[in-house]
Amino acid sequence: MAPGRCPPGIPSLRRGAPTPRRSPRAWLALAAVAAVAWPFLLPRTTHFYGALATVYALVALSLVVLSGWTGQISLGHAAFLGLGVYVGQRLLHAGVPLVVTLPAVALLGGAVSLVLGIPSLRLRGVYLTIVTLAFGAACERWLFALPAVRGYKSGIVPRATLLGFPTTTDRGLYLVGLAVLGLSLAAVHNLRRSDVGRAWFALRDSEDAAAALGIRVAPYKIGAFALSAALTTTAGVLYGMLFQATPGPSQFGVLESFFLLALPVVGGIGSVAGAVVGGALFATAQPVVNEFGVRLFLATGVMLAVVTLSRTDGVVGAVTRLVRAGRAAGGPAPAAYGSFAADVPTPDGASERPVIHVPHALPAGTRLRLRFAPGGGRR
Amino acid sequence: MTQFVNLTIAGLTIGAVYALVSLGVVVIYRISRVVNLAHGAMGIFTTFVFHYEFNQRLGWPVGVSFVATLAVGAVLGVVVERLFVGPVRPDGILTTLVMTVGVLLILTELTVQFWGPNQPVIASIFPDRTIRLAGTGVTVHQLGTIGCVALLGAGLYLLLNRTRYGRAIEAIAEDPGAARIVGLPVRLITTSVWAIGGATAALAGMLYIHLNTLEQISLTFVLISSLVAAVLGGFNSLLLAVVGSLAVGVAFSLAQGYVSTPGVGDLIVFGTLLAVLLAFRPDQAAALESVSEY
Repeated sequence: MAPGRCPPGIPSLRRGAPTPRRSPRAWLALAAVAAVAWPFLLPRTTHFYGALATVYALVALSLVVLSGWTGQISLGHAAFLGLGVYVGQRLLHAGVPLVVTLPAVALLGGAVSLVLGIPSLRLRGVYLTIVTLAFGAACERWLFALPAVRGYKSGIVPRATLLGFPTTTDRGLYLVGLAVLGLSLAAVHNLRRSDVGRAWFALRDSEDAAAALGIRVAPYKIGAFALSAALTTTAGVLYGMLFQATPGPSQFGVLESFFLLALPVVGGIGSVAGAVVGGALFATAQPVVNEFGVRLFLATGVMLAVVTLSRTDGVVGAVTRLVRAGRAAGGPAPAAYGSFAADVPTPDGASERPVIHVPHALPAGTRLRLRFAPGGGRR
Repeated sequence: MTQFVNLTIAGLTIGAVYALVSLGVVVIYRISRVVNLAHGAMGIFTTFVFHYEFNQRLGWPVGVSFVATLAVGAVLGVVVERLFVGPVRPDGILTTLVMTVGVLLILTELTVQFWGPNQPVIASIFPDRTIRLAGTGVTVHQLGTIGCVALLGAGLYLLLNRTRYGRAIEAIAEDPGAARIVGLPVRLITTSVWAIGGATAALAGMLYIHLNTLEQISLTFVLISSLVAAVLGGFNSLLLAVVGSLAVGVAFSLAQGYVSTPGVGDLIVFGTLLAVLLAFRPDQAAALESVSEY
């Protein structure tokens, strides 16, 4: 459904004047074409960063689900990433096709996450953070240091083909990663708009209120963590294939988990777009910070602090704010807050119905919500 | 048997460092409801100041550097609270955690940026001697570490339970709004508690470093064990946190001593945490609930 086109009788919420806009679906198609086309136009050295960006975007997406939508923080996701690398390597060496390996590894990641999630998430508070920290430490120092894990086939990860599609070049791997990322984005986006997503948002905002609505809080939190872990372990398989080697344990250590948390936070933890932006940003960050002679993790820490202090939802939040401010500045003087007024007819004549005009002068951080009856408009 | 005693003593020493860190974390948590993940990084940073700046560059005697480092730790605590954590605290526990992670990364990486990635041997603040005790060797450093924790624990206990300042902290921990209404300088007291926390982090850093190879991240691993110990005490009880720390330290040391696989100690810590959490009933574990009001 195009934005602003609601069934008659239901007011649409607009800021300032209604401007005819291209539908998001058109933008989405454009973005998809660009994502597939750019590796064929740019030199081969850039393909590596593209592939890394898909891996990072998957990890960031998993953290958007967990932190942005469910309100839990995991500091053990690097361990899940490492788990994906090591298990994926074993399966691929055993001759399991990639198309089976990816979901198998995802299932394993989800299963491991239950061991952490069930004890900690049935409780309220930051217990998950502490459990995942301890998990990350145990993985870094014990599991990933085991000779059986480290030395397997001298740590080489093969670049398997996905349904006959070769990944031996970075471009091939990027396109495979893009396919996995696209599927995950679609699945997560749909989940967000389902009852599950609404339950996550409800319990993020208030566990008491969610419980009062009859939402069983713990299973939803545990489920979000399992989904998050599954996405990250899947990303681990691609990560291993990209580097074609299992890196040292400290690469999947506690410090790396802190870095991974920064991906969605800096990109924008509230939306799937933020995950993609964060992934792309940090995949290309290393050569940029090298130019300035700053360590990547130092820059990451500074960005975390700046984003947190600025109270914007990362890059995506800042851009959205700018676009809205620009739109509000361009339009006519808005009506009073909460008033109903006739909409200006749009070319397709779809808006002869009441509209709530909201002025742009609301205090910063104000959130407006409209609740529609079931069966009403989706937006 | 000798090995057992030696490992237990080593475990008690490392547990004492855990206890130091968890005391700092719990005290900060109680006043400001912030789980300070940057605590270990603060300790490492100040310890590097102690070693490279005070000991080596300025050539101060160890005792003077020690006191100066505690002051640096306190100042660092104030800086972190005032500039980073304090401003975002009203935004909720999640944002605050992210901020402490940011501070952790900044401090850890600044340590590397300033003083390089090398891992120096850092002087003990105690004389480097071994005392023979019933066939086992105990270094003065080990005894001193345990002594420091006992002193600090007792001091904090008295401070919190026997002074007006402690009662003010209790009031703020219970209800910051009400504390302000009765005229307590909430902001000042909160910051001062962070200063105490920063000083204990510096102390823990200086005591820990001499026992171990100095990696920039190592004290954050200590912090993880300390957080596990603090969970034992529901993030509330100083005594339980200390007892838990000593237990975790001894378990860590025994596991590492008897099982040759590296990292078993960390596995034990993780397993302990899972067991403790499973033993909790959800309604008992309300201590870590997010507090939305200031």
